[in-house]
Amino acid sequence: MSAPDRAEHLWRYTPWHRIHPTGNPDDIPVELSPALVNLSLLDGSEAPEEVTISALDNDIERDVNDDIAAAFIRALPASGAVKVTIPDGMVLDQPLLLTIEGGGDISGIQIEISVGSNSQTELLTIIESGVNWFGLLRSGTIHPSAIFNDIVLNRLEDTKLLRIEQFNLLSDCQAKFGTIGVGGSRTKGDLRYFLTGNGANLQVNGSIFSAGEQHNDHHVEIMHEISHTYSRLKWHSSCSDKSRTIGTGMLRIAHGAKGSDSAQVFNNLLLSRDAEADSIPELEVLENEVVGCGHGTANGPIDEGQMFYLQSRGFSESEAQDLLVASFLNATMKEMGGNTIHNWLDKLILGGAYTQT
Amino acid sequence: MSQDGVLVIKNLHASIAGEPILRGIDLTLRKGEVHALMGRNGSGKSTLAKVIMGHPDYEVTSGSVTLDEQNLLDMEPWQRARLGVFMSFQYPQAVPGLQVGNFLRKSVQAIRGESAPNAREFRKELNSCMEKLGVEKKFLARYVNDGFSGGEKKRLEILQLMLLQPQLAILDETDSGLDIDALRTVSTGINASVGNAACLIITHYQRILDHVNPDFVHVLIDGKIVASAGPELATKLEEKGYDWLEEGASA
Repeated sequence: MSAPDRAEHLWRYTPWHRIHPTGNPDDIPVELSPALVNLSLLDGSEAPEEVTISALDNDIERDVNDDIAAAFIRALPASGAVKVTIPDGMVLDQPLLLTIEGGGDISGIQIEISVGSNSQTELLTIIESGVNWFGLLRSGTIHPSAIFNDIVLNRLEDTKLLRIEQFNLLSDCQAKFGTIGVGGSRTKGDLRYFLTGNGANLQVNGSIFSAGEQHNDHHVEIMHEISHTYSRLKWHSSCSDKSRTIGTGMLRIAHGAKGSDSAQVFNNLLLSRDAEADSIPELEVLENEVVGCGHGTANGPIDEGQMFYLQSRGFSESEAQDLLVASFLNATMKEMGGNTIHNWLDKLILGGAYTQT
Repeated sequence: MSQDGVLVIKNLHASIAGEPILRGIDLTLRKGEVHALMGRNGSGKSTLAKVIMGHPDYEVTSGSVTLDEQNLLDMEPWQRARLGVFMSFQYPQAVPGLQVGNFLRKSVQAIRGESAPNAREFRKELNSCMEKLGVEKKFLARYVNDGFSGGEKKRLEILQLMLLQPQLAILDETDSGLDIDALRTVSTGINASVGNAACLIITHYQRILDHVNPDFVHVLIDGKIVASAGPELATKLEEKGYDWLEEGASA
């Protein structure tokens, strides 16, 4: 299996060997520990029996991109693969919670997700454990008129994470995909979303907290393949110590995708001199009749005006800085799902700072 | 003027980027007094407010500022706030991601410390203040000043004034950008808060002084207070402008 050229956009900042389990691109590890997967409701009760999780062979409905990383995860032996099915019309007040725990030294899993038509559900996936390497391949279809909020929370310890994702959005669905990164030593994410049904509505949000010597590289591709589709990408990364975050985006509007409305923005908060953030939003617009197609990026330290304002309200310098960093990450985290899931995440990640009074 | 006030400013000189702005301010405010500070744009009114609050861009080159005989100039802005200094900003900062309700709760905890109300009492207090200011409950779920209209920003500033219960309230052009009804509502909030505090209202207009009756009116020209008198001074300024004082100051 040949390694991708470093010059390719996707691998520019995290060459394949740096995210490979052994560092040798020619290796395909034969020893792989299966990940433990558990599906429940967020309040700890059992998931409804109509929502199923079952073993999956590799004949998934839509071929995931054939890039090296996806092929690599599929090629791993005994990696395990499951399918989560949310039936048509399913409406859940409580979010679903999918916990994934890697075991051993090298671990991974492939998950196919099918979200039924006219359903209204939220799914929070938490990846945790102290394995050295974890591979996560997620793919799926959001069927017509479904409303679906999906959040992936990386709580890995000193782990390299390779995360590949590809979702297909059908007509009139409303899907939000959120990424929260607080763990792992090195993360490479390749997240792709295809709007293939008229009226499909997509929001992608990222809240990435990098510290120490963490390296977080996320590539997000959004493809408007048909007319009257909508997408927004908002990605917030805070970088402290010697950490590095990278956000690259590709927004493509296909020829004939008239009335597409899209925008992407990457914001980076730099908290130390040694931290580094790179953001490259890119556009490829092949259709003239679009509602909008914008992109932007902003990097900077904490705003001095905000610091003074908070200090004038009694917050010490360190309290004000912590509050501003948390608020910056919360601005995107709040957009990822409803109040139940937000309050739960807030308590877990931000210590309950933003649970509504 | 006796020196037993809450706030005592003596011969205060301050500059920004080497440019002198304040050129010898003397001012004393006592508990329960409302002072109005007026003057043309660029005269140094907002600079005085920021220097008292401890804005890092300004350098105090000489003079002193004390609150209850404690030297404010040795303190960080948050220490001044915890001691009881409150400044209502002319242009309050937006903080996306920080919800108003949580911000207010944390700020009250930080400033009122051990005497801060518990969660239930805080909600009661908050609801009462919001009712007085005509602020809807959904306001609490919004992000601080993010996408707020001018009037909403000023209401949030006064809501903080009411909840934080300072010893010294500095209101920097709180009336600017308010319509007549909003001005009346905001003034009600100010009047409800300043009974036990010393209050310095920075303004260009007589109209807020019709609602918040000042005990003293001061005029700042070129970084110096050139006139101090009762509320009749504001009326005279409204009629005659600042030229007559400028001529006096030059003479």
